[in-house]
Amino acid sequence: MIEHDDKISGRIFDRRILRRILPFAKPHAPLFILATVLLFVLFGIEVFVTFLWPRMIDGIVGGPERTLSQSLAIIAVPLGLYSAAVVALGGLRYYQNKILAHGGQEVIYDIRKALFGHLQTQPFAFYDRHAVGRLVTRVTSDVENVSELFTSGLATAVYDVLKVAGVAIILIVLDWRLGCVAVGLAPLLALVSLWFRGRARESFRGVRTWLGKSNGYLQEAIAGIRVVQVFGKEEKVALKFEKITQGYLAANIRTVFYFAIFFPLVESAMALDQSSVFLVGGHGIEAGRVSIGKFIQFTFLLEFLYSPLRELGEKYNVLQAAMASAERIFKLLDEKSAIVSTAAHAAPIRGDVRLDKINFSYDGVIPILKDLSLRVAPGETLALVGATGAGKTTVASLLARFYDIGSGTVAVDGVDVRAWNLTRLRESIGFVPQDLFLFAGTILDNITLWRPGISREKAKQALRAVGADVFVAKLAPADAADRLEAGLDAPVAERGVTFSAGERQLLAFARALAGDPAIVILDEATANVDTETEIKIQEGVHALLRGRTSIVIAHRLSTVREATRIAVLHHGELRELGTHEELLARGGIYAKLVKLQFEG
Amino acid sequence: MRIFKRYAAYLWRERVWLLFGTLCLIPSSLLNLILPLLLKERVIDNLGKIPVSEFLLGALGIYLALAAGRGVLRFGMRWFLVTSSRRMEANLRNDFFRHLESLSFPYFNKTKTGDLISRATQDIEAIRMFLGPGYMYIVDALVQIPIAIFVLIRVQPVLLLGMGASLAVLAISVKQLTPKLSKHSERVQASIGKLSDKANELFAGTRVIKAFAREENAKEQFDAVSLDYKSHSMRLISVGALSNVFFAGAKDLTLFTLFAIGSVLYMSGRVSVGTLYLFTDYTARLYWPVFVLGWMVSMYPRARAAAIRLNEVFDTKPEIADGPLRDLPEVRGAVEFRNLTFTYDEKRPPVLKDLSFRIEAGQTVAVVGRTSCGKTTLASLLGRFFEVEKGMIFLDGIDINDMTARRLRDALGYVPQDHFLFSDTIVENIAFNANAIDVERAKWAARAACLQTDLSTFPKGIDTEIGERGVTLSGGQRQRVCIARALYKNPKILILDDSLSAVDTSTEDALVRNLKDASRTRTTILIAHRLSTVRHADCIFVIENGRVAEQGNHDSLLQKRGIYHDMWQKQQLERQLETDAAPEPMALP
Repeated sequence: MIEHDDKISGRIFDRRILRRILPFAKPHAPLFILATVLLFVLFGIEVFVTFLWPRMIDGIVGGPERTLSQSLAIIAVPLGLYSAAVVALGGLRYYQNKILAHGGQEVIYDIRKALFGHLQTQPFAFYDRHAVGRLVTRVTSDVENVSELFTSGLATAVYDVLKVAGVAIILIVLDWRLGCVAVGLAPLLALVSLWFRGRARESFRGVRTWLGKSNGYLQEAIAGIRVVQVFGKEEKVALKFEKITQGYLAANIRTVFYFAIFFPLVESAMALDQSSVFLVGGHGIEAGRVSIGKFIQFTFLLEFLYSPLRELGEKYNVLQAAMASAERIFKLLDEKSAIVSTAAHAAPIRGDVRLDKINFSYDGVIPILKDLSLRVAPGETLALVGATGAGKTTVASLLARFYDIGSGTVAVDGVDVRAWNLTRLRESIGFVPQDLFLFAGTILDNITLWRPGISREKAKQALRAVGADVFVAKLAPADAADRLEAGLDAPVAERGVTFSAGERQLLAFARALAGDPAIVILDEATANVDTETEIKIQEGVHALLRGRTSIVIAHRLSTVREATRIAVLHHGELRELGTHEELLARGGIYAKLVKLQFEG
Repeated sequence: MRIFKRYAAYLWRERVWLLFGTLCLIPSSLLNLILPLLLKERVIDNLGKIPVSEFLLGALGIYLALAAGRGVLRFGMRWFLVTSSRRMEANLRNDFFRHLESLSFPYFNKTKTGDLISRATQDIEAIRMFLGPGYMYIVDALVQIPIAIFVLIRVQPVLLLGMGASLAVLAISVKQLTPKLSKHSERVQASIGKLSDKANELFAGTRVIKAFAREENAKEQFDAVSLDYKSHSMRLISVGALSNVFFAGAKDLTLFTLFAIGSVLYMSGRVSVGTLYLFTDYTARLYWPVFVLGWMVSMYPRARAAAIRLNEVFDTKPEIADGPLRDLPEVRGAVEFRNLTFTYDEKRPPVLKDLSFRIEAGQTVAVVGRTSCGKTTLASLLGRFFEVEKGMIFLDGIDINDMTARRLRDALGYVPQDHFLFSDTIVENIAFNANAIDVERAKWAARAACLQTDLSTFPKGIDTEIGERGVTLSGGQRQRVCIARALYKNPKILILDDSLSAVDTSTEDALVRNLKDASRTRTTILIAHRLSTVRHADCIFVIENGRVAEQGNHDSLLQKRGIYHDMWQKQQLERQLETDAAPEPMALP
């Protein structure tokens, strides 16, 4: 079963999560500390500038009786300070922004690396449970969201709180009446902002969901355009798309509505604050308690008080998203790898394979293999046959220790696979899956899989041995001198879509053979290919299996016939074992399978 | 501007809303300028001249009332203008989708799906931004800036000069820096794309990585793209920080200019505290409109490029044109290929050469041949997925180019090789042809396609969802759902394009028998590789090098001892090997 929406607590400050994130920030602590210090310096300069205004205004407000030079002398100092402040603000702002964001990038790079590395240690069972798309989201956008914790998150949140408190104190000290009015009305703004937070988040989530649906459907409709057209169902499909568009539109309009309300509400709340300040300030000026310069300074400072409150809602959402993402990431990091290779047993493998009384189930409920025992001597080929679901692929997976068994023993060269060094074990096994997975890159990359021990020469040998050299040579540019050599560097598109089924098989053989494995596990493809390709594949199989211990999940009679022995699995049990002739003569399941699969 | 002609039509449809929105927008922009003016004239200028008790409360009351009025207007402005832009976007996207649906198959062969999706989302969004919010901000700026200049010039022209000069710095830096910003952010986007492609590939291929113990290498590969992303982000951060210095710095600069010029003017008595207040307040209010003007100037090329990209799609005409004949008698199902020659690419040799054969109504015929001999092309041409010349393919004696594509396709039941299904329930897939699902009929089709045993193992039977939210079907199951889908339609002509390749032999046998039973009034064309599938067909056509090389029933073809016989022999070879005691594979005769 694929795991779906992960349960997330959705709290904004989860101390457990913070405690786990901090170690990632620690190596870059100097950056964050510097950025925070700069932030306070910036704030100090900005506040300082507002103090220049009353000095100027009140300094010259006395006016006419002063001479011009006297007046100039009064403003020269504030003017000089002001210009210095403007330059300093510019420079400091640049470095502050840069340092903070760089720190965030460093942290998410580290988290990403740690997360991906951890996922690499996860066993097959983990990947059976987790959809690829979701894992990609974890290492991309979730990690991205966490960076917000560092850039617009933690430091800024602390800073904002201190800023609001600091400005409130300054305002009250400047004039306690004015200050109390301004500060007293500030919660109104915070309330509006927080109301908006909830609505905006919900409606944004709706927009994202519908956009995803819309794109998904568009993609599907294009992929299936031939079916749509031949069934003449353009109208039906278009109506369905329009329904999704309608949902997307409705979600967008909801968002528009909240924004359309939020901005005027904030502006009105600020107008209310402002007029209250003017009301109190006006009386203060008249009574001589407040100078005009001070009053103007006051209106400047109000902006420092309001801007963090106005952005409170938005920041809250960002932080919450970041926390949720962090929680999802840590959930993955908490997954213990069930299959760990602490074992040091790393002798060269000869290829003696023994399965002893194996019981296995993927989910712990439905048994897949029951009390299964098999033995493959070095150099022998064992063919596994049986209907779909008989457990053939499972046997192969257990041998390479993709899963750990419930009870019984899987042993290679007489040593339990759990005692083998996992890397050594898997390097000694050449695994050929039904469908070759090709990585974007070159043919060479896909043969060597970047294994350091495999040279170009070795790759070419492998290609020749399985008979894949002919079509690889065809991939080379026309003017290449050594066509096979040049063909190695031919690009492979994403998932190798350009290769035919037969070519993919041969490449898979070459990939396995290049590692010179002691044991080969071959899961034969069932795809129909034409007879010529079929013969090539048979020859390829022959080259691959020669002289190696092999376990073959066979779909071709020719392969079955080449096997030393044949094991017939039925519902996870070993039912028949012997050579082709023996089993045919017996007239059991095998004889029936042969009749069904190979006779018309 | 011709580029935007198509989109102007969408604007026109929203004219009433646009009008209302504009009617809210203009007065709200005016109020935005009147409010500080009110504070200056009626409050600050009066301070110290008239007792506060005589004017303050009244003036502030008016101020609050006007501010509330502006709030309502701003709401109306956003609501009307942004909502209509969203509706415009929805209409545009729907039309885009319908247009795509009308395009012929070759178009989709040469166009990447991802590219079409990015046009349907990002490009449409770019146009919406320009025509919706863009319109709003530009009109707002065009109302506010001239009026502000008009007001301020009368109050204090010298001060305005200083303020204008420093705000111009803002407009210019926005115009200069936003293209840089978007260039770098596009690079970051591209490297996020690479990062997620790489992650996708490495997770999808994780079984191979594990099987070959290549985890360390996978980490290195991921680390490389991750580092690449980091370095692009760092560069964007630097440009962003620089932009921020200019954008925020412009405000500081403006206030400083006002401070410097204002103080000198103040001392010579040419400027009052109220005037200074007005200028500083206008600086804050004009900051956004000026910013937007610069931004829109840099946005225009983007919207233009988006419009061009969308026009490319809208201007693509379907290659398959309907023929003139409409009122034709009911289809019987006789098909004829007459000297059919076809090539996908003029430069390459034709896939089909001078191919001719007839299929009578109600016959079950098979088309066989080696891989890429042209079998699938034949099926595609009969469905008119590609254009052929006149006089080559006939349905009931009528050239298919003369009839509508609709009529031709209505008669066809086509089971494609790629067994495409929608991520919907199984029953919805089977009854794809129907607008209202007939469940009984769908169940009948499922039985005919030998799906009943599979269905019984699914959690919700025929109502089980396919895909990410439901079950994953095997290749053979998908093929049979596709066959059921075609059978549900009850077509006059059923084409199976190698649709049994993933179905096991015993099921295949039963399925072919079911098809034959149901096919007395239906023409069935089996395209196959496995000869055991086709040997019961009324007539078998063997295609070789784009021509019909042999034709006849199974027995007569065997007697001919030609290509069919050869293929049959090769396919029987395995069978012989099984009964033969010889351990070595036999050499071919």
